Amino acid sequence: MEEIVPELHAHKLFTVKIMNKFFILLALLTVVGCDHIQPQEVKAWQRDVLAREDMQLVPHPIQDGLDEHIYFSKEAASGGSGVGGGGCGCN
Amino acid sequence: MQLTKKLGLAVGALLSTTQVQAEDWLYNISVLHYSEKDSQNQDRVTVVEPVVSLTKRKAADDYVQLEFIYDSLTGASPNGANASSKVQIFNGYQVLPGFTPLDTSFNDERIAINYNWMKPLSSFSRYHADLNYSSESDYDSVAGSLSYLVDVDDKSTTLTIGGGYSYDTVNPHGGFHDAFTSIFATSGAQTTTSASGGGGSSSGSLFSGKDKQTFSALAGVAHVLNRFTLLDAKYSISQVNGYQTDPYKLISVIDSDGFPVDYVWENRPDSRLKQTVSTGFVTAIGVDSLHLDYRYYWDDWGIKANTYDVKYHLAVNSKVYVEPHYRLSNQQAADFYHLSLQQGTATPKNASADYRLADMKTTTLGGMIGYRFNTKLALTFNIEQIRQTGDNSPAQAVGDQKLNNMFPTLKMWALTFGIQGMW
Repeated sequence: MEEIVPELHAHKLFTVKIMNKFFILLALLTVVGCDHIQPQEVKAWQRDVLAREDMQLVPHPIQDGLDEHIYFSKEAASGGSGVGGGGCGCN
Repeated sequence: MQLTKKLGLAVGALLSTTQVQAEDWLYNISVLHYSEKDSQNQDRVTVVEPVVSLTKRKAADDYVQLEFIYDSLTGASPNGANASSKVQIFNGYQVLPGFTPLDTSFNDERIAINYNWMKPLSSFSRYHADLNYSSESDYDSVAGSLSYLVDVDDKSTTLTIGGGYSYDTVNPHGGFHDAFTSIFATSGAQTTTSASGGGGSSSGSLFSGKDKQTFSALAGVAHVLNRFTLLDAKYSISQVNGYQTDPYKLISVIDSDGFPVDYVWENRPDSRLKQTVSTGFVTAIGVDSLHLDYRYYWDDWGIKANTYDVKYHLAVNSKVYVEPHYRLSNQQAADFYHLSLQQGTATPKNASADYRLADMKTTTLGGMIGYRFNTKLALTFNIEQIRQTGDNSPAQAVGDQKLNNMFPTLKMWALTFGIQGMW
């Protein structure tokens, strides 16, 4: 029992931290405004704003690739954005 | 790892417009300078990494891309041992009291080549494929992936499924070492091919050593929510089989007072199942835009991580933009992470003291500034400071370990200069 309690405590702290970050994101979304999260049909000729370079899901792929390489080398978690490869030893 | 964003790029571009373009040649040349220093004022790794990318594009869903990457890496990396109040002697170097031991012989070069392409299959479906090869003095990797993308709901939603495979080999300088043997007992180069750490073995200079295979799959959905907003959600899973031990990392064996009496080689499981769920949100705010990304990662090593990423594209005028960037990643330690091993206790099946497997927080603060000369030429400069912090006096610390810093904060600077153009 002595070993389990600290572990549960750690998990609880982890969850509280996650929830705090979630509420910060929610606050950001509120700032953006309801119009931007209201579903609306978009025809092909109405995609002028979405076609902007800065509106792409990944506007700077080379920079993102360089950043991902750093995080892959320095963190235990990785992946999630695709199924590409090209690994490294990263010691 | 350089390639994982390419599919996302393609999905986003296709959702935004279906306009057919003339055939273009696009180029992107970027150079990264990366350096590290810890809170004990010890310089660590320095990397210079140029990347050259060439794309021949007929349309948003019809292009081929070739990318060359070169890494030059020098400096020092933590060897896994803890700081101590006594001088510590390792094979070929010694460490002064109070300092985190760094292996200063860290030096390597890497080249990587990526070829990826997308082709339409119909007016509402296409595939994306890539092939990758990378090589460094002690590590080789070859990988490939294939993804199928289909538009539904009047092209307001794109569904993606994909799979990938990679084959990597590691052939460490100084050979392999049996798990948990003393570093002094194996100071002579040992090339044992025992099953310790897993992975098959092969001989020869290319793809020699112990191997590792990764099978990965991804399913995703991207959706145009309205004229201003794009959403993206993905699930990915990968199974890694084979040698995953870091052949350069060791663990301190301490006495009851917390002083090191020996150092032994680490050992990691030969199987790892990794999963992620990630979401993206992009919305226009006038001429600016906000990017929010979140990823939850978990694996069967016990690691869990929450990663948040926020970027704001601020259009100063039609030529200049600034993009502040903040990223936070909180990770929970691997089950087999140990600060050190206690002398006289049973040796675990797997153990590593690699700080990258510990409870840790990584924060990134920085931004990009871009200047567009015209529609055919642009320059970018990106600067980021990354900080990694952990528990410098963890509960597992014993005796002398409590008097020393068990996790010095690591500060990294990443500077990237890029030029993008077309003809």
